[in-house]
Amino acid sequence: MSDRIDATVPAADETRPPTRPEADPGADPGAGSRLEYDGAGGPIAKIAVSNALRTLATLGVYRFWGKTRMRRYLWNRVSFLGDRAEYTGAGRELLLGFLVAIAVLALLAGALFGVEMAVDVGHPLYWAAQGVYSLTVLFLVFVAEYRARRYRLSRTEWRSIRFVQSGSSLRYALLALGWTAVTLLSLGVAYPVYRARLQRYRTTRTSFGDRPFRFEGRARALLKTWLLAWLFLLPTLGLTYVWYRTREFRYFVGKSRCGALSFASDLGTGSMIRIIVVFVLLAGLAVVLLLAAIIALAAANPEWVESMQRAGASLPFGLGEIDLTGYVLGLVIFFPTIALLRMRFLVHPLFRRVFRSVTVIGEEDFGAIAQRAQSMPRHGEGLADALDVGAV
Amino acid sequence: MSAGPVSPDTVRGAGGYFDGERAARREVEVEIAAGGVRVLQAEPGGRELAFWPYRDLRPVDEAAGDAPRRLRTRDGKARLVIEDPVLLAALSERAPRFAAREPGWARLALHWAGLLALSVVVLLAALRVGVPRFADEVARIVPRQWEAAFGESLVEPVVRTLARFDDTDEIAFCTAPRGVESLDGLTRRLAPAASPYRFVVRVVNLEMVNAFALPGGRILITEGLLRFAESPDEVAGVLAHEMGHVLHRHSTAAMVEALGLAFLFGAMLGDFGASAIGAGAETLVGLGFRREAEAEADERGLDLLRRAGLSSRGLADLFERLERKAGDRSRILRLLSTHPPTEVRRRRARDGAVRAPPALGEREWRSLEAICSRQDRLDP
Repeated sequence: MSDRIDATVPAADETRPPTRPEADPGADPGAGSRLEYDGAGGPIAKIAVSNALRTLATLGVYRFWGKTRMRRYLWNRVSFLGDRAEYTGAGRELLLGFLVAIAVLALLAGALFGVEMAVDVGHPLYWAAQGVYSLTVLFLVFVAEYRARRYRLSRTEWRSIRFVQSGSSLRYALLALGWTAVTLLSLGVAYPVYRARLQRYRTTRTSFGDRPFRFEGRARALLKTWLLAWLFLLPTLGLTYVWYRTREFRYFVGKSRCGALSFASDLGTGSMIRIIVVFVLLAGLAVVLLLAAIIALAAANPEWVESMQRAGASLPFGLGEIDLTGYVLGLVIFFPTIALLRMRFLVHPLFRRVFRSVTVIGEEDFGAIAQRAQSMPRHGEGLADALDVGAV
Repeated sequence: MSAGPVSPDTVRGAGGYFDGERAARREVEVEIAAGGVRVLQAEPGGRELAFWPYRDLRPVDEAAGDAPRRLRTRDGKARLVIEDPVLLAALSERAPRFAAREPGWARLALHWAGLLALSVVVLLAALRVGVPRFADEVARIVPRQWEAAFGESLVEPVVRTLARFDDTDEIAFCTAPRGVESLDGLTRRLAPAASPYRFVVRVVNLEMVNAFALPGGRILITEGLLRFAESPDEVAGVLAHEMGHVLHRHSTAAMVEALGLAFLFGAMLGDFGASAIGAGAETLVGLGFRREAEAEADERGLDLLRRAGLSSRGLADLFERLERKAGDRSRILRLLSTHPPTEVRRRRARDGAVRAPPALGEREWRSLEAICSRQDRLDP
């Protein structure tokens, strides 16, 4: 299965730059140019494993630098008109953002803990505090999503010009919260409206340099697709959701504009589903192998099992015992394996399919697009990181 | 395209330049000179656009040992693209750190093996020493009222978790009034006079032989333990030991440890699988106290028994019978064991034993044994 994915990827050591179109004066002729992505599986696998190991060895501190390293590889392999994009973020910015986010969340959790300590379980105030806390966390998830996107765009350049996202993360979160409520109340039917509203908010507040993006999409166009997907969601184990999101992606891309440029995508549902299925199978295989190894070890060492069972609360005051060595060994093998599979067989093929599906149409004088003189966020994404929002 | 050497010191060729102001690519002449890289307008006799000294030069694509095709300066917005192999070779010669380096698989494997070993050492040190030490320090400063409230809120979750090991659906607290009276009497007798905690001991109808100390003075004993115990002194010994845990704040430290671990794993594994793996660690670690904690609780428990005028012989007997019940351990396991050998603990309990009347009279002991004749069911 992996061979098929490899087939279209240039070999790892082949570092030829993307081919430049021959006729390329300042203004590019606009019969449509595809985005390119020429990342290769080998280097990605190496970065993934090395990041995972360094992260374990530093008790997690390296994670921010590892993430940055991986992003730099992925971003820098995306090109348009022969020129590569560039990721300019830094590990310390992610670390700083993380620390700030932890402080915010700790305050929040501390407040909840205080209320819980002050009133009895079952007191109306106790439940009120729980409710307010859950709602605040959900709100913060959306805030985090928007802020993370702002950070990433501000660290993404093409031809030395940055992307910019304006707008308010609080207003975005309110909008998202409102439409989440509507979606829930409509039993999911209103989902495309939620998606389109947020997409509109995000896109219309994004610009490349000083050239803003526009969005002309309407949820109405997605309604039929969504209803079909929604009806067959369970019988197809959620695969119709992938189908919907692929069509939605094509629609959203097709309805976006930037200056004189418009966009189109021919992303195929089949390839998306294939990538996901391959990844799930491989990750499943890794889990099965790990379990098999544990069972084999347990069969060879019956006294381990016995000690586990005793630790399983069958003996009082410390006569049951536990040995952490096995657990740690499992972790240092399993964690890099999963990281490798995820980057090499999920993120990398998704990047390739998604970016290569996009065509940019129209004529644009890129020399007229200027860097936007605007303050950039100084640290990034902490909240998204702490709250588990978004991948890569 | 490439103009070749202009002087022995310089190599010239074509490149692309982005000035950081406009999104246009400018075709430029690049000169790899003695002190740095010079960027010139492409027309003959073109003006100099930039000069980047080698010490300020940075590769844009450094991941995975890529050959550099793009250059930048330390803080500059401009970018230079070099595709001409002659220029690239000259650049690698002048600034060797730009040479494309791709470590071989053998070196990479060695490097990874080293990292793997380091990870194991660091993780074990953190889990065995770092986190517990930290938890102890934190537990010491938690206000006692918090401990009590916290322990109270833990009773139900702990009982429910234990019930899962017991295959029981009907969890209940044993509440026969005479039995409760006996138990409370024994508790009062054992509790130190100036105790900062109010001890509350309850019996749960579980078959396992066990007892648990929760933060702030709550202690749970299983019905299985009461059945297993052959004398009131054995129950008194267990109670004293658990009180030792409470007085040393071991349960509070264990809770802090679980939280610390969750945080550590969350920080380490980030956005993938953190909760699953972290929860595993918590469960593993949360199941028992550490060797030092058990020794401390033993010592404090023996002290409590002595002060209450009770014999610690019961505790020694119980240790022995439990050990027999568990069967012999292998030698390997003893080496890895995180707990002191049971003989040592048993000997300590036996050596310190004084001659004393049993902890409970015949009638009180019988009513304690029958404490589960009335049960308060916990809603499923």
